[in-house]
Amino acid sequence: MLKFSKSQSTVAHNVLVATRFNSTKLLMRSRIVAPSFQHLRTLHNTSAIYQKSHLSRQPIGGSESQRHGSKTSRRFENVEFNAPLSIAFFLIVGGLSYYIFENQKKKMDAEQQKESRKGYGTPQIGGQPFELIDQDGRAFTDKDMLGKFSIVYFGFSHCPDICPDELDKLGCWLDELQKDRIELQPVFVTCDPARDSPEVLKEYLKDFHNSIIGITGTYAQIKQMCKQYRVYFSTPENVKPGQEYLVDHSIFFYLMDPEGKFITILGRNLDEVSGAEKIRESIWEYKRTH
Amino acid sequence: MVWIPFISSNKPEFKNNREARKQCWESRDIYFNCLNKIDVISPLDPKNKEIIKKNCHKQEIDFEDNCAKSWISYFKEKRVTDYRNDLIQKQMQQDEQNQNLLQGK
Repeated sequence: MLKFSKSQSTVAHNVLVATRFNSTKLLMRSRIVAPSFQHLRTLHNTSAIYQKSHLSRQPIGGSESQRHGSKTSRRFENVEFNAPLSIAFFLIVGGLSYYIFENQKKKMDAEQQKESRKGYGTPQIGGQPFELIDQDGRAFTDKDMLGKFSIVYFGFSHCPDICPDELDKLGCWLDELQKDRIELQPVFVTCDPARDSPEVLKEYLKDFHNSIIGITGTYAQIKQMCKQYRVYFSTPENVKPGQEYLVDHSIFFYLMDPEGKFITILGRNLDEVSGAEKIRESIWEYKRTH
Repeated sequence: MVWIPFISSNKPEFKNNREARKQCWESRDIYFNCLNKIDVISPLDPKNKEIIKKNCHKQEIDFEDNCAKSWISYFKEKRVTDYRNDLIQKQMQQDEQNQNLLQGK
């Protein structure tokens, strides 16, 4: 009994170790016996075994299954080589990695494009924190530049001819852009805080477009603001109280995006029409790429 | 009594609004037109003082009355620089034309 079971296990062992050989032996045996219906069935069975064993090569790490019975090994065989399943697995893994790869590639391309659009040497203008006050004495900080396009101009109320001209032009642009539903926050920053108090600015800006916000502060705050925007300005030294003077300053409009970052400058060469056109195009371009 | 410099001067204080600016610019243009007639470029040049006083005295007074003090010298200086810029521009255009003529030959 013990011997039998041992021999049985050896058979099972043999089936596993040399399945091909074993099945050929079985086949041979079935050929020797005269074929009958029952034998045919056996033949059929054995060929099935043969087929299976032919397909199953030694599993990877096969020694494991060799130690166990044939039943376990069959179960492993199924997992080990299931053609439709492996094709599906291949497709899923392949598809997934292709998708991830493409996605990543697209992301990198977009990043690269964004980077290239920036151009080299984009000037660092604005975008830094500042704290000033408007013509009503309320605080006006860098936070007030967020969420909307702004156009910033530096000047002073005692300006003889250029600033009033430029502010009139700005008014035309604002009206023109309003027709296209482009909202722009116009900001007038004084370079002459000594004379341009909020009250003076308020009175001065009455002559211009009613949406213009007048900004002032202490001399140090204004100096800092001008530095941020790379605005040159000079107040004559040793000004006696009540003495009249002019402030020399650079004259540009600065178009800023809703993140408070610089988009472009507009110089004096632009008129009522071409200036509005430049702003419109810059904002459309910005919206298209963001 | 306290002596206040800008009230003591007889010139009225310039009110900086659209109306005043317009008036200032208009009287400036009248004054400069007068200077053009007598071929005076720089109103600040002392040697022109006599001829201006003789021919454009009224216009000068009007201009100086209508404009802020700091603006008077600014506009007078600007007249000179504008003239020089104009001259340079014309010279450049002439040069370009000459160049084109030479290349055309």
